[in-house]
Amino acid sequence: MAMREITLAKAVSEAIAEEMRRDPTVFVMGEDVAEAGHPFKTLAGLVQEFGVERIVDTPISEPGFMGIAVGAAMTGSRPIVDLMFGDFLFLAMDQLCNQAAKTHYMSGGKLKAPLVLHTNLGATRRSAAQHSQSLHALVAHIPGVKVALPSSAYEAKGLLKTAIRDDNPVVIFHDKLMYQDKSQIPEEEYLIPFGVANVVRQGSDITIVATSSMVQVARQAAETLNREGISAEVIDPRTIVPLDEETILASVRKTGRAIIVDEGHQSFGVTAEIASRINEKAFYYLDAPVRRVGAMDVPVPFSPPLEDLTVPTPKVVAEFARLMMKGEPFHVA
Amino acid sequence: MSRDVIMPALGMAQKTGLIVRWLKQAGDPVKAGDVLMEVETDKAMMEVEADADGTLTDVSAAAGEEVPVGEVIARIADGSVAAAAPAPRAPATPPAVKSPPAERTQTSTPVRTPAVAAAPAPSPSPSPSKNGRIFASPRARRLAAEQGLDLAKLAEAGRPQPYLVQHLAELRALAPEPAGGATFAAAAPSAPPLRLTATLAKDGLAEFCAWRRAETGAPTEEIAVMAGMAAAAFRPSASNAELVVAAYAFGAARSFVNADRSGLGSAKAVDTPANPTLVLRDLRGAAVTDLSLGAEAAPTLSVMRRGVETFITLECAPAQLRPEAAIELISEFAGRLAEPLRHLL
Repeated sequence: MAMREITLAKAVSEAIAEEMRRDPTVFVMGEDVAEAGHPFKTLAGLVQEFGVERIVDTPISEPGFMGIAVGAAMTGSRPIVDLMFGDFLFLAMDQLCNQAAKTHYMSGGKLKAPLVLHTNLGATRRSAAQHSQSLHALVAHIPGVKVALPSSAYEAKGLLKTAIRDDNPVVIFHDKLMYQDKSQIPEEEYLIPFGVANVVRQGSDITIVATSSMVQVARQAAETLNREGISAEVIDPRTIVPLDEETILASVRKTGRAIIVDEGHQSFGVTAEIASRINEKAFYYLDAPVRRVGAMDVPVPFSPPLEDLTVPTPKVVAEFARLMMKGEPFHVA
Repeated sequence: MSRDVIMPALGMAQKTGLIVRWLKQAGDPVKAGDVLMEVETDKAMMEVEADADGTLTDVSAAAGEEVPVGEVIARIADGSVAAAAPAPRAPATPPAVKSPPAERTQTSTPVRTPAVAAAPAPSPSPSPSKNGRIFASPRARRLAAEQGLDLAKLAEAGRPQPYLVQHLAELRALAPEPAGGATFAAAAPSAPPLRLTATLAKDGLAEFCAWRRAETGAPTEEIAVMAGMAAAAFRPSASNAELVVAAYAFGAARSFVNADRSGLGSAKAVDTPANPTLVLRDLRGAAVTDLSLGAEAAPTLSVMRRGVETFITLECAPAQLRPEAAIELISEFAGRLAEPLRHLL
């Protein structure tokens, strides 16, 4: 298969352009999406091809344009709403979670809301507490919303195309520090289905489940551990709703140990949910308590040295793995 | 003590800024909040203010120059000083946005060391604790049970707890092979069929069907409703495959295909059950109050009446369903039978 290397930002614009050529009902709306091509340059070039009728700049009013998108989705369009920062989700919550997520259910299946909310997560960009949050667990909590977390340019393109074709509201989060990261993608069109995890690295001693950019953290931890003779399996769920439980459980049944790494705050988040499902469904295969590694439960600091301390690192993940192999962090009453 | 004046990042993808003009010159006294210069980015024109009182010195970039974001272009010195000669540009700390994620994760110093101290350290105890409880991981406990090994023997031998899988080899060396081999292992090759039972104080089937008939005016058969419930209960094990429930009631056999995907009770029946995924027997009208028939071609749910109670059995071969899946199937089916509205959630 012919391959080429592109950035994640380019993968996003390619996915959207391909879907817009295929389906005339797809359009993009958001702040600075047209001429500016988005501050992270994820939408560069789209307005030149599709014009301002389909790449629509909105006023700075997330509740307003999110509401417009829900209405457009219910009446036959397939809007892609760009939220410049994932932190602005709070402004769009009613439209997304009370309206779009429940439209299909409350209309007895007569209406659909096929919209994509395209946004980002991730700290360490020195953007301070209101522009650095990873809020994907918030929306994953709401039945009726699907949540995709691509971990590379390849994943971003395939998952975004699937999101645009989905008949339900999908929120897709990219790590804002990964927009310039490159990966190999096929020349041909491809889609990545939802709910199918990717076993990034095979291993036999410990399972590391990691989302979004934390897949890189997990891979680096796994490489360190490998040099010490500990074989770690790395799993990228790709979508947390739907969640490919089977792949995760099969891995944990094999290894007997699991660490969950996610950049959302640790408490009440994605790490807790996945750890809990493992406890419920693979308890008798566990040789150590399941470990969570999330972001610290503090507002993300602006100070760079402090900010760096709040996010999961390969060093912390590897250290947990070593302790679990030794059986040290065992809770004994 | 002096403070650096840097080219600020005013836009998110901004790499450089253009100095349009200086409003203060080197040597000028400045107050915090005074506008020092105007900067143009690809997006906007911005005024850059002094962040401290003092004297502007070391102005190293002139109007009209493009300067990388983060570079020091002047200083504000304490008090009033004579205008210093332009200093060479100091290298600035690049903004974090330039470092790729791989780098950030390698360079950050974790203080978040795993909180081992927070977890009570396992106290090496040579024998089972006072109440006789042995601490072992769930996996070690399960494997020991499957292999007929007694973890208490490790405790008696003085091995500190808790026990993990890695300690089982030691235990195996301690325990002589019992005559006839470990019971579980011996049983494995010809594993017996699974038989699970559930009892409901009352099933809500008749009530639900009466309500549905009244609401919809449609004929509502209890067996069709039950087939829907059984299909939904089995769905997690079947994922997206076609799911055929062969249903037997009052001597008649019918099949329902994907009965969980149409409204409860409205699945169309097909006459001949062919290769069913699941068999459902409604024996509530029969005198049978219990049965044990062994595994058949498909997992089989039988529903019987015992006075006012409803009694359910699930029989299957170990190869047909894992124990966890069998437990989930009968629990889900029983739950829906007891409270049919659960099915709608």
